[in-house]
Amino acid sequence: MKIYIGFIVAASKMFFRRKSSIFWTLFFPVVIMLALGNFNFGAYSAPNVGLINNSTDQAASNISNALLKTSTIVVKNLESIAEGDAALEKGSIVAYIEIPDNFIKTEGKIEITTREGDKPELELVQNVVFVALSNANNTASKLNEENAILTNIADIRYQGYTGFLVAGIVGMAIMQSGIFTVVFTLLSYKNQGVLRRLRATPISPAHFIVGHLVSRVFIIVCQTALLLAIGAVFLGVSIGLGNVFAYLNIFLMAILGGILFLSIGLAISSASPNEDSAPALANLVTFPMLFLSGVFFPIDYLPKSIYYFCNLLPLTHVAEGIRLSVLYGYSTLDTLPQLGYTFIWMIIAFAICAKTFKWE
Amino acid sequence: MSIIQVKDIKKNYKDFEAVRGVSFDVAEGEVFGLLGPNGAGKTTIVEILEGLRKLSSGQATIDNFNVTTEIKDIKKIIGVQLQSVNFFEMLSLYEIVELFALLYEATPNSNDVLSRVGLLNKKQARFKELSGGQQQRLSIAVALVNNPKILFFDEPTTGLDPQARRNMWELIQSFKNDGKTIMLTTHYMEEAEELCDRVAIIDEGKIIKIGSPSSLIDELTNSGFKSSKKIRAATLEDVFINLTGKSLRED
Repeated sequence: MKIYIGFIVAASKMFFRRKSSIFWTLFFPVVIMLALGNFNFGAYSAPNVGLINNSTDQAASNISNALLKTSTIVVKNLESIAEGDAALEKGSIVAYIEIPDNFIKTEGKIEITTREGDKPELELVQNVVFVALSNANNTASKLNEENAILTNIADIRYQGYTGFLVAGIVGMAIMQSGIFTVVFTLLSYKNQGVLRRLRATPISPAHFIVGHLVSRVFIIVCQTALLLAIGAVFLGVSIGLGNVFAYLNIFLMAILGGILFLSIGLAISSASPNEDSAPALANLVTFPMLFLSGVFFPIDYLPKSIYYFCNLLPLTHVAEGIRLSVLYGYSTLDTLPQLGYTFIWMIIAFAICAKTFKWE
Repeated sequence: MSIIQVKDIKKNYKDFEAVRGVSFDVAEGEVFGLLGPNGAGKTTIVEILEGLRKLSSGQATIDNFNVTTEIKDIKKIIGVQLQSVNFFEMLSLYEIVELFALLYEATPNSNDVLSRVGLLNKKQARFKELSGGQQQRLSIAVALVNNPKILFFDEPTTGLDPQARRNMWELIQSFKNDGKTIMLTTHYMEEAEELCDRVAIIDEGKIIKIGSPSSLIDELTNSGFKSSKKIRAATLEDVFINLTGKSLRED
């Protein structure tokens, strides 16, 4: 046990003494967070809008088809209001349109539901629906009246793109710190013969691996806390809705995710034939996850095959678990699926790392 | 009584035979030198005994522990100075000694260890700030943390200036006076002559001669050998040391 503690203390001292490593651990995530957090990406593409068609009427189906054809908004078919609220909450749609089952016959009205503060989006969707109503050939004249449309504000908590991004960046930072810091540290130890010298002592690789993992996980937890604090102070994101269990869950995700990505980092440094190939290999692993794990944008409406692939990636679940706790105050029990996936990935990565570790 | 026993050890790397059946014994308290040109297999033999490489065949024991099956026990009783080595660059010398002591679960006085190799005044320095001679001395300090019975020194004076080299010789001599068994590899013959009780001359992975330096010289001169070099009362190195002084320059 003393040996483990000795390694943990030594590895932590070495990390904090190297000013450049502290800088790089925080610099990129903070710059990306602040730059993108103040940026309105929604303005550059047609927004996603959900459509729930409860009517079997031909008129409803005509309107539905007209909506699907428009290029001003991208319409996604939804099954229920609950699904619509969930998608709104997540930010994967800006509004949803509901066509009631009593549409036409009993003068049921089309309802548009948006989030608090989404006024421009509401106006846009209102216009689109109005045009669709006007163009639907066989609709009754009453439907051409503006009062055929009702608007609602969904009863959800939505923290905007900034909220989505802050949680995503925290996940990304766990991956980057986990993989890149160990890959480079370990390779330099290897090349300088430090590991060789350690091998001449009676310790086992487990002492070295565990010592390093624990010190780095501690650093990752600190980094997570610092990034969330920056998100709260500078971007006004409310973290965990004041739920202590949500905070605990964020740190639990950071610990599991930390061990997972550190193990991948150790495995990469063992698999790299030389110092030159290691950064390439590390980028090969991290790059797809950076863009396909829901760090910068929701992945729900990516093409199905890509969506399934995204769900295989470990960062998807780490980022999602953290996001649920950060934005909606979810505790550990509420994020069991994300924790489960992360845990399985962690076991796989740790097994590979332990199996492939080489002193030289 | 032999503390190191090596019997017909071989080490192959694919088709290349780096060590081709080497046998020797080292007595307790003896300074035993492995001499040979670069690539002769000296380091490979030493690293097999240190547990850094695996034997292809043969048998070796250190203090009755088998190098193949009981290497962990061996590592606890030996001190190792590797040919080229680095230490954690963000730790001070004192912290490095403390960390290595912990790895051996030993509790030496780290100040005493650093003082023994003349680095106490550098205890807060980092490894990279040291001169070549100081780096070698730190490597030896780290080898001492577990108070080992046997010390392995692999080319400890390569790249050092004459002052640092003589200082290193005095240090190694002091370990001998403490009763430690020392195994030393070198390709400096005067170093072997100065320090070793017996030497094994190795070439192309084989031992071609074992004996004390004086017996090997006698054997050669008795065979009628005459050195083409005129023997003088002093060497150029003596002139150098006489002019520049014995004290170490790096401190």
